[in-house]
Amino acid sequence: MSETSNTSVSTSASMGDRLGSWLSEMRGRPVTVHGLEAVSAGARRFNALCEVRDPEIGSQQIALTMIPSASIQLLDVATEAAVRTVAQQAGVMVPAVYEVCTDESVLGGPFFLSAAITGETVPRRVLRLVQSTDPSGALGQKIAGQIGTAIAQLHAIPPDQIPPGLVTPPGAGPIDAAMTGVENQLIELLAPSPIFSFGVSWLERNAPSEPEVACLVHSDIRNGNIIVGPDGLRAILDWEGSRIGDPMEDTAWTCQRMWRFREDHLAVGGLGDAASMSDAYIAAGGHFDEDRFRWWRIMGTVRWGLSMAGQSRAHLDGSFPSIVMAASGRRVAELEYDALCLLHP
Amino acid sequence: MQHPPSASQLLTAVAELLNDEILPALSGPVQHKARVAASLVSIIEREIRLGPDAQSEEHRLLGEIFDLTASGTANPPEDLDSLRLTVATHLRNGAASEPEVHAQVWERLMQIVRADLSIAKPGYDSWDGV
Repeated sequence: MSETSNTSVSTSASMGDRLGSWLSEMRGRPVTVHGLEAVSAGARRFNALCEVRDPEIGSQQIALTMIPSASIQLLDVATEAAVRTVAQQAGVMVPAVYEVCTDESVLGGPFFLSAAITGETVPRRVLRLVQSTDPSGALGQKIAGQIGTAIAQLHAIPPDQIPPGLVTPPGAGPIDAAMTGVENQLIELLAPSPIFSFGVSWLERNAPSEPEVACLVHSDIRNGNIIVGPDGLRAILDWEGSRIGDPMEDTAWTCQRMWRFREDHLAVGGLGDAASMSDAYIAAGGHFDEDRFRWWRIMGTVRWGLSMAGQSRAHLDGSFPSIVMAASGRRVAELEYDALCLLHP
Repeated sequence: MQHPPSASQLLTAVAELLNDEILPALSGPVQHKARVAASLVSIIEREIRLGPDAQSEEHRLLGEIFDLTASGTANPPEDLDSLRLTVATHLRNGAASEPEVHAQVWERLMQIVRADLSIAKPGYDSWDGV
């Protein structure tokens, strides 16, 4: 989806200048912005790195996160910044948020500035770095554990500290909402999938009770949304999917096969074992529920497979014509296979 | 008939052209899209070769699942699309809930998806853990 909005956002000097003027006004002193460079531009997020020179602080490496069009934001920037801040206070490794701007006239969309953390984020490069730093595999296991710790810290945030404005699952709770979601996706399929039908029926029969305490979930913690260095996990990124949910959906999502990048035997992102993650989750005070975890692994797999089918439909019906979307139709079998492996009798 | 190369041989040549000559000359988002296109060409090449057998095998296996999950003595629909829809509906409605039926149906669904993967992503099914 990277091609869609690249042209709508200018990374010219003028964007840096406008940001510099705004920062000078906010901080009450002459601040300048240098070397602004786009690092990724998707339909929902524009990410850039730059150096901010501030007469009091000195030089700061900053990450700019902007929503190109406020109409398609999943989570408004002020709420996302509040989530990052509360997560950081709970101990989660999150890039510190410095400034939030909801005025679209400054850069063309609402944005926030946070600390730029060095390290690898591209999944295959993450795995290469981890393997070359420590061929014994201990570093990967350590990162899987750090992910478990971070998730437990996030889930321990008391309800009264969760920022308002987050999506709360419709219906009876996160389980009910997820069931309704896959049910609708199944109905929308262009060609019926006996395997996903088999899976949805299993999910329905084995649905756990709604969690007693719904918590703040990130919903997309995985290899690909983390920054890793030779010392281990440095930050968890991409908080736009934060919402109220079931704690086990976060732990299950880290273990999906699509985030392992061919290192299939290492469940957590090709980095470490599921037990490294779950042991650390428990050690940090989390309650790890195996049955619920398994249910969310299957739910996540079926839902992702149905979303792949949905992407091919978006290509065919003209709502998002793209060769990448079209190709997703030929990826559905991977998720059907993953779902069956999880449903092994 | 068309003079050789066959459709399959031509697609192999197109995939080689994309991978060996065109991809290295590109960069950024357009290179990503070209890589996806090259991968699709290879998939279609395999689909032309392996698709007919995979489809008749799917037809046979869905027939068996129909027999395992249909109540009464109804006959399965003859064409594959209708059969697939009927079986999907049975499965969605819990016709494979009972553990023994679940296991027998699972076995057949696994054979169907392995044939699909031999076209869409060969080797993907060499890992069968969770």
